[in-house]
Amino acid sequence: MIFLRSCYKIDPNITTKAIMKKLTILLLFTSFFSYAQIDYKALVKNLEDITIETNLENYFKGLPVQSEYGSIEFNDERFLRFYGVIVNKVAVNNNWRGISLEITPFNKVRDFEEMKNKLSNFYGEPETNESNNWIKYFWENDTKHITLSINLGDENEGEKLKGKFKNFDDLTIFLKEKK
Amino acid sequence: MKNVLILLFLTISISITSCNKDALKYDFSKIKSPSETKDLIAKMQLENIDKKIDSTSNFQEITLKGMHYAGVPIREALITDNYTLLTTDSLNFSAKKLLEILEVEKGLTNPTESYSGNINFVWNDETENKKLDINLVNGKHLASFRDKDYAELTITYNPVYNIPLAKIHHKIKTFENQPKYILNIKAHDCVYNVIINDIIITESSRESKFNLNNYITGPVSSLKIIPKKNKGSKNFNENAFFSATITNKDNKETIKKIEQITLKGNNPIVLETEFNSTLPYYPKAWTDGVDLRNDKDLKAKIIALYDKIGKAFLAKDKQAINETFYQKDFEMQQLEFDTNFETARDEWEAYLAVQLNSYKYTVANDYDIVFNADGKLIYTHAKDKSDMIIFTGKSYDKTLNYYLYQPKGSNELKIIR
Repeated sequence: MIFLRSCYKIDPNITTKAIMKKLTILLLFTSFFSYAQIDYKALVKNLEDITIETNLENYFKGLPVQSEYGSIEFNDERFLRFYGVIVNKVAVNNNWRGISLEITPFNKVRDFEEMKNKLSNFYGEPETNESNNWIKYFWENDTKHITLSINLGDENEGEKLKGKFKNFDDLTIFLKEKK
Repeated sequence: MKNVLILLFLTISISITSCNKDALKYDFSKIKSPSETKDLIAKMQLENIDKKIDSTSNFQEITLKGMHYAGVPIREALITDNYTLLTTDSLNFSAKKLLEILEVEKGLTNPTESYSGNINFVWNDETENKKLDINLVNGKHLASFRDKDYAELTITYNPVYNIPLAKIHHKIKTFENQPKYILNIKAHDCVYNVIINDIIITESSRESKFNLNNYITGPVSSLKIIPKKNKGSKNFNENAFFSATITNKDNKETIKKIEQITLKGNNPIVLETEFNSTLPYYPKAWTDGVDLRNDKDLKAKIIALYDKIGKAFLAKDKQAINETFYQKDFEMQQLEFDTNFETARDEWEAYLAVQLNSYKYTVANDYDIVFNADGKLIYTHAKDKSDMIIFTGKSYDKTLNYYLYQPKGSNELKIIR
């Protein structure tokens, strides 16, 4: 304690207790600023929450954005979820057809199954349209029209993949105006 | 007892800090310039004599224990005169940690994917550029980093410019509403003159878009457009038409519309209107300028100004160049509400390029003078040269021409647009 007093030229009238208190506060203060971090969890966006009423500027605030040909794009998967599934990117288009979200998932069969199940649970069984090489699923209610289409493996890809999920083709959500 | 616990806590903290200090001695995150980089190399050389580090070399590949970037271990540093390339180790989630450190330092930015499949982040600011290249070894993507993923950080330092012309962005004010008035023209089979606030901004043009802010000095502006028949034609062709709209690019609001008219006959048609040109900032511009229409010395003043510009560039007189162009560059950047540091730096580097590349200049002797804004603003069209002033160097050619005015109380012309 004599060493501390001499090192920091502290007024000899100040008590040891007061010195310890000041040093502790200083150390905690320094520690706080040494570990300043971004709250990544707070930046995560759940894209299924977006409706026609959503103020998109406020909703995506804090995320870096890219504008191209009338659409705005977010492509950092750390912040993008669709029904809990991590997605690669989302483009928000606003054109003569209205506002739509074009979501690009990662090509994982588990992600496809998760999304399809969640959408079916929320919107009911989808309408489908299919061929040997693709399947399209459609859901619709008063607020949204959702298209999910996938490509299927063919004979060239081997028996294991034939007729099974190969990759995503399209996942688009049209936001409908309230009537 | 309480004091003992606090003292113990402090002692442990100090011990941990001391240990880390020995393991992580060379912190690249603290380096902010090429000279500081050289100092760090010199320190590494002094403390590691057996490693044969040469602080005078312009190409160094260094692998030393203790190199780090804000606590993230650096396996290799490649240091040249132009850049520093740091490669992290492929342990302990180095790529993730370095990304998070840089995001705290520089903010979030958009990732892009390179041809090799790596993910890049780029941060450019006034003093330095940093590019982070993430190599996913066992990670899947940015939301699923793994321990072996590593990163390469390339750092380049920008030249420091102290001249006010290069730092205009520090002076730019921003406002809640920042209108940018754009004139959009839809026309067929004709050319047109566009005159705003009695300033001819183009003649016999076919351009479809004009930024108007640079010619606005008050809340109401006049617009005159004169569609004319194509050169060589007797009359307007039968399908010729003209229409125009002024919009505010900031909120996409239509400010004024000139409905489509069919163009007939052979005489120019004069379309005149006024529009609301409210801005949160009005430049001084030429508003305090004198009427030059009867100035007998005008031609001599024009030559004198361009001579002064020529001499300033050849003498590399940065202060004179700053004085000549500052009002123009500041007003134009403020009218765009442009706080981007690159705008002023790019303009200054363009002036530097003229200084560096030119060994002579030529000023036009024969030119027409066009009077605008009740004679306060002039523009000249050279007749004996390609433009009013031409800078020449080895395989280098640069021409310049400006709108000029004479402030009240001064006997010299100034560049204003």
